[in-house]
Amino acid sequence: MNHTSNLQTRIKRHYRNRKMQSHLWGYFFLLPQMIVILLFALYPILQGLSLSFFEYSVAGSTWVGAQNFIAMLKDDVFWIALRNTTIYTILIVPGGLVVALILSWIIFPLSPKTQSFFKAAYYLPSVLAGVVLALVWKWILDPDIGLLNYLLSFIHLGPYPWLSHPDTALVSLAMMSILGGQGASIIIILANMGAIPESLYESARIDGGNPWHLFRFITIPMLKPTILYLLVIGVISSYQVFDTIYIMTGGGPYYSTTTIAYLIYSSAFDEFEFGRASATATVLFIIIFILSMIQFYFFREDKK
Amino acid sequence: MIKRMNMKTILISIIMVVLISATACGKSASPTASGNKETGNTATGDTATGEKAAEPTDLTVWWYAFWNGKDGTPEGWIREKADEFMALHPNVKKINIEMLPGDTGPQKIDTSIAAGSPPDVTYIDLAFLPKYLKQKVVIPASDYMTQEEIDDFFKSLSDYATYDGKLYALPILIAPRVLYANKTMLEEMGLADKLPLEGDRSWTIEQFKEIAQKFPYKKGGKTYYAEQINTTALNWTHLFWFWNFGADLYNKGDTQFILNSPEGVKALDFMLEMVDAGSFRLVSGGAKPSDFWAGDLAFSLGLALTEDKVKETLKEKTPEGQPIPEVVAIQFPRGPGVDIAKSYSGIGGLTVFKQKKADENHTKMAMEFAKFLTNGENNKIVKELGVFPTKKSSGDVFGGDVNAKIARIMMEDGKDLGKGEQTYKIFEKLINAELDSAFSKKKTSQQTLDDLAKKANDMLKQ
Repeated sequence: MNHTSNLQTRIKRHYRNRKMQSHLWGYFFLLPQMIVILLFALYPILQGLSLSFFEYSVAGSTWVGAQNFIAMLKDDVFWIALRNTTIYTILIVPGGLVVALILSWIIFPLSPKTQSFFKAAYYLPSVLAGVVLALVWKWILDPDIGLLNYLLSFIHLGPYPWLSHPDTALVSLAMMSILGGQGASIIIILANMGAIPESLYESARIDGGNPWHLFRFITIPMLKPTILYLLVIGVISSYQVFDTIYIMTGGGPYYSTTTIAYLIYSSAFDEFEFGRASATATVLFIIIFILSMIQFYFFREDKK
Repeated sequence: MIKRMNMKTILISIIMVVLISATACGKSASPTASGNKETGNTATGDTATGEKAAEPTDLTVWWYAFWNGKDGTPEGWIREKADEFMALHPNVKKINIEMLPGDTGPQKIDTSIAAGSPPDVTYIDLAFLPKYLKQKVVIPASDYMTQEEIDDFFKSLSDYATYDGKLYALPILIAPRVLYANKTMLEEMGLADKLPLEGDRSWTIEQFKEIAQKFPYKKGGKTYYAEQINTTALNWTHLFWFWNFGADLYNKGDTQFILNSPEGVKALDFMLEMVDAGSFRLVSGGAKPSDFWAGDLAFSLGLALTEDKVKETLKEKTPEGQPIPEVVAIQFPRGPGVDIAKSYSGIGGLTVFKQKKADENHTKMAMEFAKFLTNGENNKIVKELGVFPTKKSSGDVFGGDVNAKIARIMMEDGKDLGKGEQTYKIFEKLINAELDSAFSKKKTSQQTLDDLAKKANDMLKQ
């Protein structure tokens, strides 16, 4: 009995070693990426996490326990920033997805050449730096010399202080993101639309389905995993929005565009409160981590 | 087997190297590196002279394009001074000069401090000195200066850079503000005769209102405003209205924020009235400010420039095809019960930052260079910028210039943004953001200022 058990253990070890040996090259090729992740992602995350428990000073740091977190939670601006970030996310993620779906739906039936033109046209802004886009949109939304107010003046509307009033500033930023930032989503949706079997559409047409029926009952269900992916990725990136805020509004007016990522920057570099900034970053990390877990959960469900 | 062993060895070696590198990075970035402590504790003045003073060293200086050198380039002046200094101190082998852009230079300094690698010497706006003191990165200049050297600064200026009895920066320029008026625009509107151009050019808010209420002025499809209230980023020119209505940011000693006084409320009501009437343009959030020097506004607060410098600026900024307007400097209008117009003077100075691995000789040479740049003779160069030197020994550099005279009058009762550890935070984080709540009609003036005062006083208690 004991002999059999030993034999089984040895066989198991042998196969494990064989498996390990055959996978070793795979691990070896993964190593460069692991090194990059370790150095430029994991290490800064751990360093940031540790910093959130210190009052940081270049001359020396002092352990302050949870004080930075308490100060952050007591700060009204933190809650405003969290609210703004959530509103921004709620506005741009579903809004952007709807825009991307509609545009993809319009582009998809076109000839491959025309498709390529539109794909390139919509993707072009994604190639540009966010700062450049922000500057262009800042001009479009300028209350005095902006293109948007100029166009509205033809129908006797405005001028509106798009970025200068607390009621319109965040919505203006969301509008910019919805209209100008869907290039990548369109490419992904179009690629996945191409993978939907044509036979499904043919059957639906035979059964009397109109274009709306085809879109509603075939395209959307078949794109469910893609939509889910875009939703979650969109939520994660919108929670980290910083560059457009920094360039276009500086978090104002009256904190109306202060987001969590902007607050982190402002605490660290305007106030030199690196500990509190790290505490806020830790909270942002937790929020994004939870959202990522939701992503994994939904993908797993989808696989089932 | 051997192959597997080799592979394992390679993997383990690589992982070890990565981990060791990461740990090494951690240590070098650690703020508790011993170099700081050594530099900080040994910064005690003349103790490092003698043998160590002769040790060769290099310095790093970050500078702005303030004025040109003999070669006509912005970096020319600092380069010439660096060469002169190295001739006087042969042990300083090299002075590395890096020119900072005016708009993002302060950010670069902040980032370098955060990263633990600031320059040896740089120029800063002294309003932000407390921020750097909190980080314990500034070396006290007074430890390296004689009392006679300190006394050569105008007292109000050295006081401004003194904390806990130690001078932490060497003031190099004082830039008082005056109000400029576009006389040509006002002449077109038939209002120029209402400007106070006689005597000391002082006037009242009521006189100013007589002109301002004629705005907005529309011409050629463009709208012109009397003034602008700019609450974006770190703008503070609207504080002049508070100060000249008799309100103050802080009590004496900066222990309490008191802008919600009746005078403060009156000032904010006045600004709201002007914005609502369209006389003043509100610049907040992402709006682009108007440019007075390009002819967009009738009045604007600005650095006190000499008459020649004003002409030069106008020539440079006036859009092509437009006639160059006449611009005059006047005092800021005074509110009821205010006898002398209040001004704010930006004071710029040189700081010497602690270095992780610097020895005493290096620190001493950095301080000597800062002293050299601010000595009575070199300090006269600030005239090129149209601002005032900070050393008594520099003398009167502007002679009888009218604008300089107006600036000197307004310098008599100067205001500042506060000197406490929290005051710069209150300025950077609270004031403009909270004032926006009044300008966007979310709150009344009284509510806005009361809420601002409550938050500011909470911060002061921290």
